[in-house]
Amino acid sequence: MTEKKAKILEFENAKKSYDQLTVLKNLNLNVYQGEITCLLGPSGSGKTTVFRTAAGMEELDEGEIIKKDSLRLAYVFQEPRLLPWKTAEENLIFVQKNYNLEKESKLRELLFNLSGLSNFKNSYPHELSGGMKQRLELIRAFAVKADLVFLDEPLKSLDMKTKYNLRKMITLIQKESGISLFFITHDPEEALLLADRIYILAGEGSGIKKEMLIKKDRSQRKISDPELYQKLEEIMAIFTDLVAEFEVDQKDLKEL
Amino acid sequence: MKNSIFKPFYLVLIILILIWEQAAAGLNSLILPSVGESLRALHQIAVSGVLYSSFMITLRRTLIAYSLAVITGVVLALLMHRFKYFKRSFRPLITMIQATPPVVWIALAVIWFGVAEDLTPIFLIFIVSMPVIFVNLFQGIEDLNTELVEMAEAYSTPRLRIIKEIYFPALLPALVSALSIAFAFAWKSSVFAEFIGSSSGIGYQLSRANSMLATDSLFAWTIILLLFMIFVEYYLLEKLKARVSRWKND
Repeated sequence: MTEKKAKILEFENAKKSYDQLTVLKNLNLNVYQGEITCLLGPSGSGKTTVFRTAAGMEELDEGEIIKKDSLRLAYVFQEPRLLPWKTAEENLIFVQKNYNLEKESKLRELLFNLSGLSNFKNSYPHELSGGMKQRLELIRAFAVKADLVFLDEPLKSLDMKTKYNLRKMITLIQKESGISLFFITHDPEEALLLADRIYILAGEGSGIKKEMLIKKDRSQRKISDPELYQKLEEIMAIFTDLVAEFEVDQKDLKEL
Repeated sequence: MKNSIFKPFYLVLIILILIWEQAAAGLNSLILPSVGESLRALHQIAVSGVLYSSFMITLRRTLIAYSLAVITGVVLALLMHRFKYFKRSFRPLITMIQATPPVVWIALAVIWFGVAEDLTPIFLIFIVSMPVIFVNLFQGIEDLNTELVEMAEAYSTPRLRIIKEIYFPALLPALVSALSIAFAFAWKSSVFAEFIGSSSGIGYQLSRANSMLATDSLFAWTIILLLFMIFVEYYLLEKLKARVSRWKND
């Protein structure tokens, strides 16, 4: 079903190294119109490098990123990157101006209401809590009417409750607007709850280990669901393979 | 101006004045004039018109040299940030200028320009305060959060807007702080230069009072110098600092 959707972004045989360290090698993945695509991988597997090269912040050494020039991209960074001398609303206007959207005050209003920040439009970032800043970072990405939003582990440093609420917010926006999302995470449960398509990146320079499709309605998903649970086990099996076996005799640990 | 800072200071000031008065009571006024004698000298300087004319001369020299120092310091900081080769070539030179004691510069200035009316003090003020502007601003530029620039670029923000809306506001607090520190240097160097190598201005009046053993006048001029510096630092610059960093977390 999903395969018929249009590809809007494609990584083809991407390779990227830093000095001696090959971070990405033979990386192939597709992002489809209207989907939530998740890039799942443990720390150090090159997820952020995928994000940075797709965003044009870094160049690939080899391979290609294929996308239309007209494709409008937006970004949600791991740590909020807000201009501290601008208020919450001015931060949205700052990026909107680049696309002549600064007059869209209704859109801003909607996003502030949705994120529960409507009373903080005129607050400076230092006056907001960590969770509120991350919400602002999120709605900024949706304020530019992007075709594709990249999210680099946006929920990583948040508490359970904020994570849950933001996940709900992202799901709702995606469902209603049909916007395509490219979501990077190290958390298999998060990927299973959010994604239509999961790419598992395993270990540096190893390429995509597995592509997984999740067809179940997002609003009905629970991690205890047998179908999702089985996929979780599959993911964990891939991840476990990556962990080096302990190279000590367990008896020696008694010395500790 | 934060009154809360000034309240405890008033108390310290009163105690200092009392100690001064007490010490002066037991000493010859040539060594330490009393508060009253110093204020009388101040009054005389004021009514004779010397206060106004000398003050304006020193202020004019300070402002000319300070403005030149600000422009040069800002341009050098931007150039050295932009061109690494330029930085490697000239950064040590600024350190050398800064490390040279002001007394060497004034000695050289007197040799080069003589006891000139304006040139000697202007040269000294410039050479002492320019590195201060440069060092503070350059540090601010080097510490700039490039993540914000990266974010703006990812959102296709035009270069000019990045300069205007990210670089400029980010650097403004560092610039104001540089302006503030450099002004104190400029004002002091101005008086120092006039003391040694000029025939007008507050520094020259200090040198005259010194050679005539008019210690009360020496104190009177010092009071004027301090009052002006306090006005600039706690009134003008403090207001400016609060304005440019209103978005900061205190």
